[in-house]
This record gives sequence, C-alpha cells and structure tokens, in this order.
Amino acid sequence: MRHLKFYCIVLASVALLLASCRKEPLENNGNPNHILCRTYTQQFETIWAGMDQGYVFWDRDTVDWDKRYEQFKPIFAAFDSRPANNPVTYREFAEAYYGLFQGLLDHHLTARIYTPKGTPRGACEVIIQPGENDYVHPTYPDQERNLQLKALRKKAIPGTMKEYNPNTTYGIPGSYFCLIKGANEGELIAYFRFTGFSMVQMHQMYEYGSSAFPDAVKAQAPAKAFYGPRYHEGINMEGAGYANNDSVVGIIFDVRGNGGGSVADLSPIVGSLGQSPTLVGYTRVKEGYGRLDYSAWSESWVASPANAHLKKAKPIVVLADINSVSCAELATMLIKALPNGTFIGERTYGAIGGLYSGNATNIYHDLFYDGCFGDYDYFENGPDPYKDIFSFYIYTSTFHMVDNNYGDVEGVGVQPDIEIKYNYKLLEQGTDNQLDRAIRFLRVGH
Amino acid sequence: MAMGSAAFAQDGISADTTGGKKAPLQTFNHKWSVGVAVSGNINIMTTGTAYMSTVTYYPFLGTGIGINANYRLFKWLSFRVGAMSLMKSHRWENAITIDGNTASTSSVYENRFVNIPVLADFSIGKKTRFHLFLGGYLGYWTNGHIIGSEIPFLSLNDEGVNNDYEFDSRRDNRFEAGLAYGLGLAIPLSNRLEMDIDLITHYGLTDMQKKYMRQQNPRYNTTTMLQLGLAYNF
Repeated sequence: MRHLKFYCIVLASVALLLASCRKEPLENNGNPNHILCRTYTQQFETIWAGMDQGYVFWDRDTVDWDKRYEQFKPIFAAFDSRPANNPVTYREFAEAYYGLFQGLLDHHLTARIYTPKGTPRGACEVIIQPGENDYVHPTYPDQERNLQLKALRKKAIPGTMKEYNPNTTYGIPGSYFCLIKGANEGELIAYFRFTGFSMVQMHQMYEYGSSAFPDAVKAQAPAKAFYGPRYHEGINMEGAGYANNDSVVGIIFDVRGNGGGSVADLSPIVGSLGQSPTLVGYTRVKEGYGRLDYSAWSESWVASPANAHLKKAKPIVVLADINSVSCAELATMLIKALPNGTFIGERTYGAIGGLYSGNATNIYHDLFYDGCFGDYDYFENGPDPYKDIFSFYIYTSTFHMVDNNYGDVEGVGVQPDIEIKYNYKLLEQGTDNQLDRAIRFLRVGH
Repeated sequence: MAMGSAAFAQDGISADTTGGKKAPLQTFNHKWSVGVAVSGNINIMTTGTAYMSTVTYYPFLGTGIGINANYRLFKWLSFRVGAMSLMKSHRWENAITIDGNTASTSSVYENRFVNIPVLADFSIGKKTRFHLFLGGYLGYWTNGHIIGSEIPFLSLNDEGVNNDYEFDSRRDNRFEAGLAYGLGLAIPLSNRLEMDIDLITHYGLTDMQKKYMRQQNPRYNTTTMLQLGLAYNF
C-alpha cells in the first residue's frame, strides 16, 4: 500500500506538470472593426490583425502575411517616431500601405486609409485596390457599350429595340431589349442587356420614397411598363422579353461591361430564365481567428420566380467579358449552370466573393468575423480633419465563393465555354464579334 | 480491469485463501486480461474567443468503442494499453442580437479519433476493486463531419450543412497526445470474467492545429468518457 501511494503521488505530480503545457489562448486586443486608432502603429496593427483574422481568401492567397508584418511594422513604428517638423509625406504613407496590400487576391478589396498627421494635413488618404488582372481592354466600358449598341442596332429587327433608363437616371443602370432573326423564317432570338443590377433596390426606392431622389417615384411607371407590374419579383417574360413567345427559340443575355450591383436582382432577372432553382455555387465564411478557420461549404441557390419565369427551357447564351464584375459574374455563373446555358465571350473580372457592406455598425463583420471592417462613417462621408483619428475602412469579401463544381473563380473569373476575345478594331468598324458568335450559336446550335 | 493470473508470493496472495470453502470471485489473481468497452463521452474543445464575444464553443456528447489489454505486475498495480475509436465533438455557435432580434449560425463538429491510451492502473479492494488510472495517450484524428446551419450568400433560406470535414494539411494537426486519468470499478462476474465501469479523461496537450500563423489561437480537446467494459482474465 505504501508503494501505491508513492507511485500515485509521483504520477499525479508529473501529470499536473504536463497539464500546464497547454499554450495560452490569444489575448483580447479588441475587435478591429471598432478600434479607434491614434497612432500609425496602432492603425497598422489593427488593419493587419483585421485582415489576418477576417480575410476570407487565405486558403488560396499566396501573400505571406506574417512576413508583411515583419516587413512593415518597423516602417510604421518609424512614422510614429518622427518629430513634428518632419511629418510623414503622402508618398511615404501610400507606399507603405501599397506594399502591405500588394498582390492580395480579393478583387473586391478596397482599402481606404487616412492619417491626420501627414503632410499636407488632412489630405493623406490612400485608396488601394490590389486585385488586378493582366488582361484588360484598351477602351472604357462606356465607350465599348456605345459601340456594341451600334452594332446591335444593325442586328435588331426594326422596331423591336427598347431601352430602359439608358442615361442611368437616379444612378439606376439601364437595360436594352430587342429581337433578332433566328435561323428559320418566323424564328426569333430575344436579346437582353443589363448594364448593372439594382432593380430591386430601385423598386424599394420608388415604392418607399428616397430623400436622395425625391422625384424617383415618377420613374416607376416606365419601369413597370417595361418589366411588368411586379418586376421586382420577376421580370415579365411576356412583356419586356417576349421570351415566352413560341417564336422565340433562343435568348442572349448580355452582361458585358456590367459592373455588378445587388444580388437581390439575381432571382427576378436571371433566375427567371430557369424553370426551377439553380445551384450557382458554394460559399463559406470564417468561423474563428485562424486564417484557415472556415465554415463548411454552403449551397447557394437562386430561385426561379414562381409566376414570372421562362415557361419552357430554351437555349440561352450569356455574353460576358473582363469588365463583367461581381453580380454580373454571378449572373454568368448562374446561366452557365443551367442545362441549356452557354457562356460565350471572355473570362470575367474575378470579383466574385460575396460581400455584405453598408451598415453603419458593420454588423456583418460581427456576425461572420470576416468581410468589411473599420470606420464606416469615414467610408461614407470621408475623413474628419478635426479629429485626430487614423481612420480606415477595409472593403473586402464576406464570402469565399466557388462555382457549382467547387472551381475557384476569385481572381480568375468565370471561364467561357466558347472563348471570343474582345476586338476593338472590329467593333469600331461596326462588327461585334462576340454578339455575332452568340447569334450563330443560337442559329446553328454550336 | 485486467487482473493478474497466478498468486503473487511477494504480496502474500494465494490462489485459494478460503480453506476449502467456495472461493470468492477474485479476478485479480490472473496476470493477463483482455477486454472490450463501449463509452459515452463529453468533449470540451478549449480555445480562446478573445473579442469574438458572441461566439461560444459548447461541449458535445459522443460515443466510442475500444479494446484493451492489461498486464498485472503486482496485486495493486497493473498496466493497461488500449485502442479506441471515439468521437470528440463540439458545437460552435455565433449568436448576435441586432435591435432585439437574434441571428445565429452554429455547427456541430463531430471529430473521430483513434486513441491509444497507456495507463498505470492502481487498484484496491478484495472482491469489487476500485481503480485509479494515470497515464497518457496517443491519438489520430481520422475523420470529421459537420452538421449545422449556415447563412448562405444567395439563398434566402438556410439550407443547412451536413458535410464531411475537409482536412487541410496546412492547418490540421491530426496527431494528438495527452494525459489520461480516471477512476474505475471492477466487478467480478466469474473467476475469469469481470465488468468494468470507468470514468476516464483524455486531456489533450497537443494543439489541433499546426503552427501556421503568427497570432494563433490554440485548440485542445478534453474528453471525459464513461466506459462500460467486459474483461476476460487468463
């Protein structure tokens, strides 16, 4: 019995010693979403930690974020040590943050960072968008759209061309519709083009009024006439699109140059082209501090409006290009996912990570612990030169999204089924090679 | 509880101490034993939540099954080695209240491990014996499953998740080691068969994650299992 007691005590002591070998959890340094920064170092540390813990693409990003910490922390510490007669210049401030963010994958990412201490006072603000593509068009989307519209008019059956809000009144993107001849006599191709997605937002603004646009309510009548009386639930296929007419044998849905908008438009506009809900892809968010602490993948379905969808499946071509961004890319993914959908054009921009923003308290960051963080008031209204606050706002994706085959799309875009590159020379001469290929596809079936 | 075989002269134990009367059941007279056990457990995943004040990691129940072998060195000391497959689960929840409305996401992580405990088994008692276990274990995280609710990006409704856990070799440390300790009760059913009721804790000392980032929150499993077993002595 003496032995028993002795060995028990020895083993228990060893066990107690070993039990203390667990590492301590991270200490609470505050939520980067709500920290008011007073120094260069604090601002850097807060932004670095916010990205470290809340950036949603760390599993794919090749940037060594720990190395960036070691590289840039001394630079910002040196900024804090500067005497008052040698303030940090805009160039130094900008170069430091450009260096910090350089090469990050998120194509939505926009870092807006301000120092009240730099020179000239009140003007030291940098706006950084690190997501860049090697492939770009030599022309601006507006210029392209005008040329493409000119080429479209030549293909449209006379009298069928309709435009809604072409001048983007009240900031609402425009849309176009026309009919194009099919392969055989009496067969038609319906063409839609959306230059942005904010139709549901537009409806809410019209319906409930907006102090920003007091006359906006007047614009509701033409919207209803064009898209149907309940367009916010689903555009009327018998009205604007005629797509349900038996004579329409194919549909072109054009989102080239479409800079995106609200995903609330996906179901009433794009989902209406399907007969049932469509699995567009999978998303996940963060679930912890770890860069790779992700939730499980969650299915992302887009509903087909019950009373306003295409009744019969018809071949659909989506036209998209490198200037199709965000929601336009989701529209492209959705149509590509349809059994009767084909994507013609070129790879899209690659800013597909879903993003929740726009709330003054950034509740989404506090719900998911990822996505946009920082001083939303500064983001909305600009810096306050009378406050000594090192403001920042990091606009970054809340969701990591992949397509319905778990294929990566962020930074690489949606890949076309039939690649037809943008050709400015042809377009200048009145030929839209991408549109022509879509028409040919619908006429001959390949 | 595996018991010893023949009598141990040094402990003054003989095979028959009853003077011709019917011998009491004393399975500790055998040197070797093997057994099987089933268990129910509660696992606590210990990690920090720091500023994530709305996040809670809850303990979660699991089950297990295993085999073990005991070698008796003295009447009061034997050694046990086992192999068991057991769940070490936890539930993660993030609940945030906005304007009086609560929105939440939660997931149950069902992680299955194979553990190999090596225990010193101190025991006292004549017929029914009480045991104290002290030792360690090695474990391997074999697979996992996630069941829960998520807020999906596009869909209006929560579709829920029910997926196998995808290991990430950059993050997941599938090897586990730690302390094992507990108490037990061995009730002899015959001269060779006994029933064991053990309450054993596996206290992980290795982080479930590899060191892959500068500011990392460690994660440790602590699994307390109530184990019911049958052991055959020979």
